[in-house]
Formats: sequence, structure tokens, C-alpha cells
Amino acid sequence: MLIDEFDLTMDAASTISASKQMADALKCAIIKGAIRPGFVLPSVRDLAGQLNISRSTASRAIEALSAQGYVVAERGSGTRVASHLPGQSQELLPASIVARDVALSRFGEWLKQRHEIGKTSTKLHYDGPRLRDLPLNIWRDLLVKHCRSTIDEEVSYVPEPFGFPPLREAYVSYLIRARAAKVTQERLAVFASRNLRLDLICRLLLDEGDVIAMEDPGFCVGREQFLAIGAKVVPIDVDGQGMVVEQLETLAVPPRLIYCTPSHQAPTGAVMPMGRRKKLLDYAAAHDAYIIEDDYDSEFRYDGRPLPCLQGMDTNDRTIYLSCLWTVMAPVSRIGFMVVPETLVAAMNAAKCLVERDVSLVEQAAIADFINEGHLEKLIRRQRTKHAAQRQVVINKLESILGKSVWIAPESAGLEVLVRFETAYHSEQIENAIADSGMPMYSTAAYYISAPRPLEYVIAFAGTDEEELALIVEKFASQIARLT
Amino acid sequence: MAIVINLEYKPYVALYRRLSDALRKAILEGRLKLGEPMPSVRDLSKSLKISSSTTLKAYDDLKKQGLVVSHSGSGTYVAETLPGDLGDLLQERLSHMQKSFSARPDAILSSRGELLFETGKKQSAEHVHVPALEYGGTPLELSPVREWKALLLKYCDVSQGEEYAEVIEPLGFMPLREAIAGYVLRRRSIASGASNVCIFGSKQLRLELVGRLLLNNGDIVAYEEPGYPENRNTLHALGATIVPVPVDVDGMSVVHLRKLEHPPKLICVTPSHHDPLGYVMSMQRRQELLDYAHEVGAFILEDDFDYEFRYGKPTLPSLKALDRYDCVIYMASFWRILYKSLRLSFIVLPDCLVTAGSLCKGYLERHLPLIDQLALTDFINEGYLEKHLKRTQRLLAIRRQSLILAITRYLKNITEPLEETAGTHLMLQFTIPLPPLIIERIAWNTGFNIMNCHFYYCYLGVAPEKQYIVPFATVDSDTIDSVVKEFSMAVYKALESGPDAH
Repeated sequence: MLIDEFDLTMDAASTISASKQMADALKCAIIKGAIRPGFVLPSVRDLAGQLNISRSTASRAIEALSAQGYVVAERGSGTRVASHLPGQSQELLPASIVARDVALSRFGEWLKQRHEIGKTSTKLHYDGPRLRDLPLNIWRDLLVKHCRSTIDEEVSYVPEPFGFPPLREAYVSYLIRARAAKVTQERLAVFASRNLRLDLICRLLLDEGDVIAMEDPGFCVGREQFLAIGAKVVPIDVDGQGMVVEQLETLAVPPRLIYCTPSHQAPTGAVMPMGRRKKLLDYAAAHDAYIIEDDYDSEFRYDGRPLPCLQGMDTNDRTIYLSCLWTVMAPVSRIGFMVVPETLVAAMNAAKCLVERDVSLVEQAAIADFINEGHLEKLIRRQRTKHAAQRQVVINKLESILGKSVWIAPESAGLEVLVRFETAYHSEQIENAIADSGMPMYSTAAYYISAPRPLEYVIAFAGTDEEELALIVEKFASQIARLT
Repeated sequence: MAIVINLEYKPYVALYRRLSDALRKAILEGRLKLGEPMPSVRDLSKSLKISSSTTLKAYDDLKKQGLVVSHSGSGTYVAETLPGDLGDLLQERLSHMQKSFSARPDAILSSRGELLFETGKKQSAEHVHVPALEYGGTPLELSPVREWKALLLKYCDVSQGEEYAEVIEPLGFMPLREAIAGYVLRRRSIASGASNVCIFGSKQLRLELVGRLLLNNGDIVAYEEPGYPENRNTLHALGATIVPVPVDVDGMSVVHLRKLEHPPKLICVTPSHHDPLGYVMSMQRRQELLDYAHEVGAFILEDDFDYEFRYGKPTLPSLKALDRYDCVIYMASFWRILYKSLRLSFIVLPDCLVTAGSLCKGYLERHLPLIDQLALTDFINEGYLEKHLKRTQRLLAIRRQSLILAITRYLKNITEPLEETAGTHLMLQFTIPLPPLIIERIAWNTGFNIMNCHFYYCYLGVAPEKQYIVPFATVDSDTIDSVVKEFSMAVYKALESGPDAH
């Protein structure tokens, strides 16, 4: 069989080397099926002669093909085209992808199902403070500083699972100052983003079917996480003082975990008073449960100082405290923190070591300085003034235009305000008004485990400036007012 | 001794003072151990490119602070005890590091929590050994730190990135995903689009995602034996049943896979460069493995580790590029290039897992550091990445050659011959009747950088005792010959005096 039947043409003028040309041509012929698997190639000498190239060039081409698996050289019997071809190389053949049924894990299936009924989303919308409201110059200078110096140090830095020690030191003193937390550097863990915290807590403490009690209505992202991991979520009602702790006593099976937001209940905004906090702590101690205290936006109380956190009152080591820089520093930093109870430190350390050891060092170093140089608290003070004004605008406009037909939650805290409309309205009417005015307002339905309360909404005012907010709320409220 | 000293830039502070501060820090962090020798003045001056008189002055400074002592004739040592509170500080720090891993939690953990805890403890114990090897990554002096820094600095002004900053994409910054899709298409013939690329801030979360998405408790994962322990641990902690599958020169044995009573749901392989043995999976084996995975409906997790570093032979196409069945999950990182400075890593999902994968990513990790992503996008698009790899390849080939030469010259009679391998290290199997501890001590004393790879084996019982990884990326071609010579002489001496002499 003559090799030129396979259209092995060589271009002497080409810049591509002769051996590559030859290899490519042969490869092409093999992939197209012009030369069948198992076919014995002519000897190197013959090939070289036919193509008018040197023998060493020809043998280089054959070697390259053999290394790539297209041909197999067998001692004594010459070179054969391989029976299994690497012929699916994308540059030569379009991939024929077989559609397949995928067997996901139960966890994966669960996520998919929840997504299909609209409970989770792959893309999120950001509704917090705006970038322009942050001290970007200071942040830039700190980043620049650490991009210059920290990176060199990084080579010899052995990452600690709980995070960069200087940042932990800085945040510990902040938590003690601002939140009266009981915390040491050894018990503080830094997380690159917030989600992993709840996941690791649940994995460490809950088996499939174990009970976690949570506020109803309550933080929906957290609830989705608890459900996804296979926990049994037991709803506990919420009143004007937050979670109704007394209900815990009535549960047949005491929970392993209790999730709550005592500083500012999500979404109602209720603040848990001292008496109830004590009861909650006593309950946890008596029933060997852990409390997850999610202190997500405690920085923002507009009348008086923030209440100290629950964790600081706990004398039985039952509280896992979560906080993050999200509400203050997003979108530039979304680092999250966890104060781990003494009894869980070793386990959390091991878990963190396995799942997330790396958190951007430059970012951690920059935040450490940001805290130590006082910028964080300065920023919080400034934002507090701004958010108080924004909140006031919302309340004033709503009250003046809608009067008694809207109820506004009285708690003066947080980045959102909860409102309820009179039952005379239809939710479609309100949703139309939201769409028309561009009001940053969302139904609380997703927060409920039990039947959602109709006509209840939160207004996320933090991302919009006062003047603009005044116009938007006015437009919205007037439209609603016209309905009656 | 591999101690990295960073002279922080401080205006108006004398150079010797900056050096003594940095060394003080190293002592207090326990990186320079109490009672152990300080780096020699000559070596340190040379590596920092400063005069020896400056270094001497810094050492004097430390002496005055009581942190180091010098014994006439034998050089300078870190003090046995530190002055004042410093000793307590160090003690506390070290004991804490120990404690956090050894202490039992008093809390009652869930059964999966127990598993997580036990595996994590094992992992952190093993991890202690890894840093020595990590420094053997790619040659440090070639790390494009300057270019990387310049790009980071460009993006420190976050106000420039307003339009990106407020979009939360759990899968990562879109332009970066596009850049990576282009890169894997160029280098690895992987034709998946940017929508299949998923960026991670932490390497281990990649395994976490794959495991969570595909594996139920007790599901079978076929894992190379020996194989990279870290990934195995993360999957084990998820409750997967790890089934070790032997590896031969052609890669994971498919014959062995076919003999399994229950087929695996996931097959983890390092086809470009088996870790740690260095074998490259043959073309035929790749095809067989893909066919097998398709037959049993398994997914393949391809850790494309070190594919850039093959010596004298062309790189083979990745499994992902050969995958017609949509069953390969491809995973790679930039760790080799910029070390810990660049923590981002990625996976390329098969089409059938894109939706579920992005939901799972949103569950595990939603936010990634913005400036790192912006800088890496430029780093790839402006060609630094590939330029760097090319330079590294050249240098590595030279270093590898000089190490092979030295080994053949001095260790031929006490080790098994080397196989043809890829990557940034060689494997050495000692055939002498010395216990591994003695070999390791001799290596440490003579400055020959080797690491026992027993913890790469799933079943420690079957691990060869004296199999070592010898990284060559940081080997100095001029001195390696004398290092290996000295090592071999010490080994022969130990052999003569018999193992009991130690």
C-alpha cells in the first residue's frame, strides 16, 4: 500500500517543520479513518523516501505520534496504528457529547429541587451599602501596603485554619469593645465567606434528622442550609421580643441547635430583652443544646448603644457567635467570623483545616489594620448616622402619605424596616406599586416556615441615598394611597 | 535551612535594624527554633543581597536583646530560653498550636462531625510535613511576583471596579472565567465554555463541591494508591468509601477497577503526573478509563497536576479533552506559579453538572476576593502565565538533570533505578538496611531535601518504608553534587558502623 493514497502532502515552503507536517498529516489520516487501527505503517525509510525528507525527520514524526498514542511501535513487527485512538482531540474532531442522566447525591438532588421551586438562586442581587459610601482611599492604601509587603511574607506563612493571627487579634479586641463578647484569639475563626460557617456547624453537630429550632419567620438562607444538610427544622414563633423562648419547653424532642438573631430579629427587627435571653441560655444549658447567635447587623441601632451580645452573657459555653463585615464593608470585603465555644474549638479547627484553609492574606492583613487604626468604628458611626436618616425618610414619607393604613415596626435598628399593610389592599396592587416606583421592598413570605403573613414587607433602604429614597417612597406611597 | 526573611520597607529605619526585627519575628513565631543554629552570616547576606557587616550588626543587635547566643568557633544559635515574657509568649503560641489539634472536644459531635474531626486531625498532622515540600514547588526566583504585585496594585483602587463589585456570582468573576476557558482551550484542548468554569477561593472546597454534589454516605470513590492525601481526606470526611486502586507506569489500573464488586461513583486520577510517583497515564489507559467510567456511569475527577512539566516528551491531551461522555470534572490551580499569594483555583464542570454545580457553589462559597480575580484575569490575558511556565520548564529541566546526575553518581548502589517521570520531583527508593529515621536524619543534617511519602498511601501497612520524594525545583545546580555526595558518604558511614550505632 502506498502512503500517498492518504494524501500526505508536504509543503516545503511552510514555516512548520517537516516532521510536524508529516505527523499532522498522519494524525489526520488516522483520525479520519483513512488509516485503520492496527494497520502497519511503512518503515521509516520508505516513508522518508516517499515524502522526500530525511530519515531522522521521519522518525521524529513517528516518535511524536507514538508519544501521543496514535501509533504503537512493537519490536520486530514495525509500527502499527493504535487500536485505541486519542482521536477525540478537540482541535481535530468535534466532540460528540453523549447526553446523560446524572445521579446526584441526595444533597445535590435537594438543591436542584429547591431551585426548581424557586427557593434558591444561582445569582444574587446585592442590596447593601454602596461602594461609594466606603472610605475607599483608606482601603486602597491598606491594600497597596499589604500587596507590597505581605506577599513576600506569605511564602513562609503556614496558614492557620482559623485565620491570620493579627486579624484575629484585632477583631477580638473589637468584639470585646463593641459587643461585650467573651472571646480570645484561640476561639475566633475567620471565614472567607459567610455560608460555610453554618454548614460546618451543622456538620459537626447534626446528623440526618436531628432537630434544629429556628425563628419563624427567620433567616431563609440559613433555613435552606439546614434543610439541605438533612436537619429537621422546628419553627418557633416570634413576637415583639424576638423568639418566643417559652415554646422551646413544649418541644417533644429538645433541639441540638437553636438558631436565633437576638440583636435584631430577621426580618421583624425585634430585640430580645434581657429576661428572655437568660431563659434561652438556661434552656440551652439544661438541654445540652448549642445556640447559634447570628449577630448579622447589630452595628446599626439608632437609639442608644447596641445591646451586648448573647454570647457575652453565656456562662455555660453554649453559644456559637457569628458576625461578619458584610453589612459594613460589603462589597469590598465579605469576610465572616465565628466565636467558637471552648468545647468545639478542636473540632472546628480540624474541620476548617480540611475544608477551608486559605483566606486571602492581603485582605486579612488589610482588615486587621483597618480595625486597629480605628477606621472600622469610624465607618460604622458614619454609616449609622446615614442609615438613621434613610430610615427616617422612609418612615416619615410612609406615615405622612399612608397614615394608619400601614403599620411600621417600631424597632429602631438594622438595615431594613418591616411594614404591614391593611388588609384592604391586594398584594398584586402593592407589587405593582413596587415595580412602578422601583422601591427596594420585598415580601417576607420567604422568611416563613408556616403560612406567610400577607401584606408584610421589608424595605431595604441602605443602598439608596436619602433624596432619591424620598422620591421613590413618595411615588410608591402615593400610588398606594390612590387605591383607597 | 529554608527560612524566608522579609525585610519590611520602613523609611528611616537602618537596614540592620530591619533585618534584626525580621529575625526576631521569625524566632517569636517559632520559625527559628530555640537552641538551633541561626543561618550563617555569609548565606543570609548572600540570599538577601546585603553586606555581611550589616548582617553581623543585626546579629549583634539580637545578641543584645538576648535572643541569640554565639559559641566561639561554632557560630550563632537561637537562645535556649528567651528573655522576659517573650519565652512565655512563644510557649503559649506553640502549645496552643499543639493543643488545638490534640485536644478531644468535650462536645458530643454528630457522627459526621466525628468523621470530620478525626479526618481533619489526621490531615493537620500530615500537613506539618508538607511545607518542606511546598517550598519545592517551582523555583521561587522565577515566581512572577513583580508582575503579580503590579497587577494587584492596579486593582487596589476598588472604586474602579464598581460595576463588578456589586454583582455576586458564586461561580466567579465572568471575565476571569472567560480567560481561564481560553487558557485551558489553548493548553489542554478543553473546549468547554466559560459557563462551565467555576472559580474557588480555597482549593479544598473544590473537592467539597464535587463530593457533596455526587456522593451519598458510603458511596465508592476509586482513588489512586498511592495518592495525594489531602484530596483523599476531604472526600473521606464526607463519608465516602475510599477504595484504593493500584497505579502502574501507565496510570490507574483499569483492570483492577473492573474487578471491583461495586463500581465507583467517582474516580479520582492525576493523569498528567501521578502524585507522587510521577507516572504519566498512557494514551491507551486514558481511553480505557473513559470507556470504563462511561460503562458504569461514574464521574472522573481529573486533577491536572503539574501537566506543564514533562521532560523531553510532548504533553498528552487531558482526559477532559478526550471526554465524549461528558463525565470528566477537570480541576487545576495556580499554586505552582505564585504559591500562596494566589489562592484561586478552578474546576471545569461537565455540561450535565453545570446547574447543580453552581447551586452547590452558591451554597458553599459565594464571595471571592475581588482584586485577586481582577489581577488574575489580566495575568492570564496578558500572557504572563504562559510566559512564566515556559521559563520555569527550561530551568526545571536543568535542575532535574543535575539532580539525576548526582543521584546516579553517588546513590546508584543504595537506591533503585529511577523511572521516567514528569513533575517537579523525583522518587527515590532506598534499598539499604538503615531505618527510615536514620536516613531522614542524615538527609536533614547534610541538607539533602527529601520527604518520606508513606502518608500518600491509604493503608499505611502496605506503604514502602523508604520511598522518598526528592524535589528538584529549588535545587541549586552548582551545589547539588556536593550535597548528594556528602549525604551518600554519611549514609555509607552509617552502614559501616551498623544501624545499632545510632
